This record gives sequence, C-alpha cells and structure tokens, in this order.
Amino acid sequence: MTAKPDPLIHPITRLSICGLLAAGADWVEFAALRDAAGISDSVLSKQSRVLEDAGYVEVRKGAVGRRPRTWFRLTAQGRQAVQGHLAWLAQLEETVSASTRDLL
Amino acid sequence: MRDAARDPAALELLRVQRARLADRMRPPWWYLTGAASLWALVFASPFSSRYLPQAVPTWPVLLAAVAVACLLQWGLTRASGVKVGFPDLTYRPGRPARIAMLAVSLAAIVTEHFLIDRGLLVAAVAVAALAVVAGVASVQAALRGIRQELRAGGEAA
Repeated sequence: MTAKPDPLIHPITRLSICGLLAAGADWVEFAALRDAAGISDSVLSKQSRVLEDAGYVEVRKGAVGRRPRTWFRLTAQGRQAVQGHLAWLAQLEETVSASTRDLL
Repeated sequence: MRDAARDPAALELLRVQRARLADRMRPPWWYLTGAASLWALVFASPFSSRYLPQAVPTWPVLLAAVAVACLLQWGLTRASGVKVGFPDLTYRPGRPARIAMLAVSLAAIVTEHFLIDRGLLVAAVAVAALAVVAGVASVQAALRGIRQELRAGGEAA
C-alpha cells in the first residue's frame, strides 16, 4: 500500500465517513454512521453523495416497514484510497511528533 | 470544511469515532437470550432424541438452530446499523472464540450421549447447562473480537 494523500477524502468530514466505513464493517447504516461521525443528516447526505459520485462509496437504499434505510460501504477503489490516505496521515503524525520531541 | 492535515488530532478523532461505532455492537438483552435458547436447543438434542415419545432426529434441531442464528444475526444488524461478515470460521474477528465453541459443542454432545447411555442423567443435564453457559460466553467473546476489530480500524489501521 502506498502512503499518499487523497484530496477527495482530505476534508475531515469525508475522512471520518471513509475511516468509519474502512473500520471492518461490510455495510454501515445511515444513522449509525451519522452518530459515530457526530455529524448532521444533511452533512452526511451531501458528503456521501460526493463520495458516491467519485466511486469511493456504494449506497444501498431499502426500507424496513415504512422507514427508509440507507446503507453505505466502501468500494475497492475507495478502500485503497482510504488506506493510502490514512497511512499518509500516520506518517504526518509521526513527523509532527518527532519535530515536537526535537524542539523539547 | 475543516482540513485533516491542519488538524493534528484528525487520527485521534477517527479513533474516537471508531470506538463509538464499535460500541453499537454491544449485544442487546434479547440477543443473549436468543443465543442461550439456541445453545439450549442444541445441547438438549441428545435428550430429545432419547426421551421424547417420537424421537426427534438431530438434523431438524440443527436446522432450527441455524435458522435462529440467522434471525439473531439479522436482528443485531438491524439494531446496531452495522453489518459485519457472516460469522463462520473464515471470518477473522472473534474466530478463536468460534473455534473453541465448536470444540466445546462436539465434546459436550459426545459427553452427554456417553452419560445418558450409562444412566447418569443429572450429570448429563449439568454438562448441557455448562455448555449453554460456554455458548453464551463464546457469543460475547466473538462480539468482543468484532468490537476490537472496529476500534482498531480493520485493515485500514
């Protein structure tokens, strides 16, 4: 896996959505993703559409009784991008920590 | 919109969010009750095949157990909003608990048959009860494994 930044998932809201979807679950439901990320319905709808249009996220809509239910999962392309971006962020974090240690 | 690179706590925030997602996989009371009923059904099969007027063969009991397991899994997915892989032996999180329970199940059923054959009914019932407790503990351990996987971030970590 190559550690490289991805401009699409760089904003923290999209990073949260993708990072949660990459955490090991197959599918995550709208409310679960919203609550875990701590964002509003409208933000999740908007950002998930951006990710879906980019081919990073797959969306499945269904219903339980009269309640609509939306499920999300990462595509293979999205998973690869997230893993690369998280590896890059981890490197960045390590660099920042090392610099801070040097200053002290 | 906030920028992850300018926020040194971006990864820390993601860890907190993953912990929140993992916490949704705590089993509700009905899940554990259902799991206990499922294991009770399995470990009662040596008795039902001997003592019911029309001896119940093993396969319908196992079929019913699989149906209950699928129903419980579906219910947990609906309640938690998190769908994980089918918990067979190929699914990594919680696998040691599932393998251990498979071994315990086989040993318990063989022991129950052995004890029933020798007329040691009380001992057979005790073995079945202990096996049900072990079954529920294995379900909890498997879910704990899934929660740990979600917290750690799976392959993305």
